[in-house]
Amino acid sequence: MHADQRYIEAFRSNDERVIRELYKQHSSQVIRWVVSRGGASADAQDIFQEALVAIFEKAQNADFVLTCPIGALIHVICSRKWVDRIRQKSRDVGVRKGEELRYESEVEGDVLIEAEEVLAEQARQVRMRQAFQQISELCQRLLTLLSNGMKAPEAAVQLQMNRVDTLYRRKNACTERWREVYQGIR
Amino acid sequence: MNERDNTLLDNYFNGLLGSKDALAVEVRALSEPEFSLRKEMEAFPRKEAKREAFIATLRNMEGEYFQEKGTQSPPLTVVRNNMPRWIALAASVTLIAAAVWFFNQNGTPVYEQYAQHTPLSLTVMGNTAKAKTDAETAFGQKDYARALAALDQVLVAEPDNIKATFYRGICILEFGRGSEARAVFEPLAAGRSALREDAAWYVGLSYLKEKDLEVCKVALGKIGPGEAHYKEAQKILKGL
Repeated sequence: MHADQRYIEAFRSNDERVIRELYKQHSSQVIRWVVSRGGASADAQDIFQEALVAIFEKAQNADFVLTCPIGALIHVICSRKWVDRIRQKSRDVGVRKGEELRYESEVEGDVLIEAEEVLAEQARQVRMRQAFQQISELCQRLLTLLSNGMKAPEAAVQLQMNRVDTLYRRKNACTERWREVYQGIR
Repeated sequence: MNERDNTLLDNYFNGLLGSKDALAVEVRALSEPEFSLRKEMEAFPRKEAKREAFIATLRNMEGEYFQEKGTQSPPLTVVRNNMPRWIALAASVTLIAAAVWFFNQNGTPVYEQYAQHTPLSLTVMGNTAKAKTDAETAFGQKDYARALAALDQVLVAEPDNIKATFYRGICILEFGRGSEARAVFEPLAAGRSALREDAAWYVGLSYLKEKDLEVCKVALGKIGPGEAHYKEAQKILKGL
């Protein structure tokens, strides 16, 4: 476990004071990095925030343990996201390759592996979210109420269902539909 | 997955299993992908609420470190349907055209010319999803009473939701309760959130609405070059 694991704990507990340290220590570096590659401060803001959210999502796995400096991890994830942006803008292929090679040669292998895991988890979460948004509004409300700890009888009343059995049947149908949509997204 | 598994997961997340059975659920999730997915789906909406709170934390501080974007960017939210935005945009264009006509007729700026509110867009996840959706819809329809009620509901569950607070201020202002609206906007304008410059602008607009033009000048004069709404503020100042 790396000493920066404390940032992962801060993400889990939404500790603003500790998260602010990351902004202080790394945001200006990311701005310089992006601007030196022709991007704007606004691009840097987007990718910095996306990187933190990606790490946050990975940190929701209780068994996730940070094994590299978080600054290096943020930098690699921002680099990847920057390359993705360039790809989306359909710039020159040679430039893209150059960008990838440049950052990959700058960091240790374990940072790259950890970054890959973070980005893969984020991609999975995006799919999960997309699928969730495709199920009915009633299903979204029902699953959200129950996931947030509302007792079934109370949720049934709120959703105007006469019986708790109905609520559970509906819940299983909603979850099944969600799973189908999720597995259909590639 | 069968009915028994569903009940097992319900009991797991409701803390009804003993430590041995809870551990068995976790071990099973490691070896059975389908069971693991269902376990994750059970927890997903709750995690989304945490994710929202985390993003709100980031947004609270981004303005301090990313000045340029922090004051101008649209909020980081899940956009579910762009149609209402287009409708709102079309409505805004119409209103602006009407406002330009009105301005040319009278010469003195009035609140209605500049009260082009950005459509409300809250991230609709978590246990306030319904209230947020209601607030967005009502605000888009200029039904400020209903929007205010829904925003109050959101703020009971999320008292630190800055965007809900800010739009609550707009609703109050639309009712003509200027001083009450300023009680919402002024702390935001003095703070460091991404909405601070918008809040400063609305402080000025609140005085314009009350036709307290001298104080309006002072409030709008505080909006500096490079800040959001600077050009509009200058336009009003020239007209007063």
